[in-house]
Amino acid sequence: MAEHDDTDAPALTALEACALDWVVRTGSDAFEDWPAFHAWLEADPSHAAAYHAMALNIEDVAATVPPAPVASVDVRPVRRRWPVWTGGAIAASLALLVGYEAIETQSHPYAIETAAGAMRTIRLADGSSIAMGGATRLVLDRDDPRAATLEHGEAMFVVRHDARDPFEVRVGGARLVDVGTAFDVKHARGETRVAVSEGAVDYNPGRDAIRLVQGQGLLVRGGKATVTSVDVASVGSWRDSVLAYDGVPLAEVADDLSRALGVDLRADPTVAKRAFSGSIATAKLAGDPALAAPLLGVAIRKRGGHWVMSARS
Amino acid sequence: MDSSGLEAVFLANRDTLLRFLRSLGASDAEDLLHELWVRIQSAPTGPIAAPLSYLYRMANNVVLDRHRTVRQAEKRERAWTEATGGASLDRSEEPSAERVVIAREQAALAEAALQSVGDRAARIFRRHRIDGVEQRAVAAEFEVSLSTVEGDLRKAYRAMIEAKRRYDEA
Repeated sequence: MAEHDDTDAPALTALEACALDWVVRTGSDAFEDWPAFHAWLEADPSHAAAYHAMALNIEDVAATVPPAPVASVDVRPVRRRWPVWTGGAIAASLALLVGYEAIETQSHPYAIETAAGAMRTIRLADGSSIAMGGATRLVLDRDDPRAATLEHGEAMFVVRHDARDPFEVRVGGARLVDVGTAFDVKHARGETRVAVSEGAVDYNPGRDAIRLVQGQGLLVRGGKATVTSVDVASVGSWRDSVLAYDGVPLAEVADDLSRALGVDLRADPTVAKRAFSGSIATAKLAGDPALAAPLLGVAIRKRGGHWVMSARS
Repeated sequence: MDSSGLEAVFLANRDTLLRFLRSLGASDAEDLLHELWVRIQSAPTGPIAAPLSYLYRMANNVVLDRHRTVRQAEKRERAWTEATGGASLDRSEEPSAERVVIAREQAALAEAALQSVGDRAARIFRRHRIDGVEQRAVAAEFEVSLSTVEGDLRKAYRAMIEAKRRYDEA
């Protein structure tokens, strides 16, 4: 147990205090004095190490800030390596449950996050369910069970419809309101994609007021929304470890594979915008993204700590 | 400035950015520079007021992400070891009974440390660190200067890190 006595606090060293100061300053969106930071780093090789140690340290302690009210600790069974996800099975690998107190509102939001390569399903009290893909972060609210915010990643919502209290998903500054629905939402690289497999969804009712019905999707890129058509059968197929595409840029495929496999895969500029159509059974890749190369018509090589997708030479 | 403008600034400052990545301790600075280039290609294109600052920030994030990835991999490795019957390590993600107790203790400690720096600093910390609101917006929200926000964050981080060290040593 921690001791709260008054022995000397292990104070930060001068270097640590300096590093802390730079972490705070460089963490500001207003920070512009990068040359000064660069000069500090170059002054001594120990500075970079101190800076990174401090940055990660702060992330660690910030992650321990207690939920209020206390969130229940998730104790679902953990599946390792290959969470091949089927139907209603739950693979809650490395899922993180974090709650916190909202500042000025009465709401009690809490975040649920999955690690890359993991999937999990959340069942809500009203019978609705949300399947989360890998590297996905959702914010739910204890006091408002009919709303969810997708901060990043991909999630499939199968919600119980209630016309008087429609389910609402917030994503990338937009709102999606269900009209009796199963739909998939993805938010990554500044883009939002929606695909409806059942019922209908209203995108930004009152503002853009776009109604998407079964078989329709939406792509929001650079503030511009475009309605697309989608194959109903493949909506949310990633839950069965199948990624299905119809003319999607390889940069996005790389992103999805990263989340599904728990690797860091990027498309280099030579192929990033190339369109891909087809489906990938991620379970068959057994964690090795290079096995997808022939299907995608590219080369996939390990480069440093990550994988790079590039033109076949 | 659109992404092609950003690309021009990148090319004009390539050497500076490479030196910056090296100064951040990156042994594979060339690889990271390439990664930065890839990120620029896929970055959302909006108006960017200070493109070089933007590139510096992205470069800094590339290195930070690298460190995070390494740490995550280490954590996963530990979790895997425990799940497969290896030695029980206390940093596993597995919510064992012991781990739940530790998490509760740490939460109480973090809360106490946060309270010790005062109400405003604690609220500013939560707003920035947990809600992810940028510092400028936090300053506007609390009607304080940016340097006040920085000062509060410094205090909060420091108190929490020191509390964690006391805990780890106990």
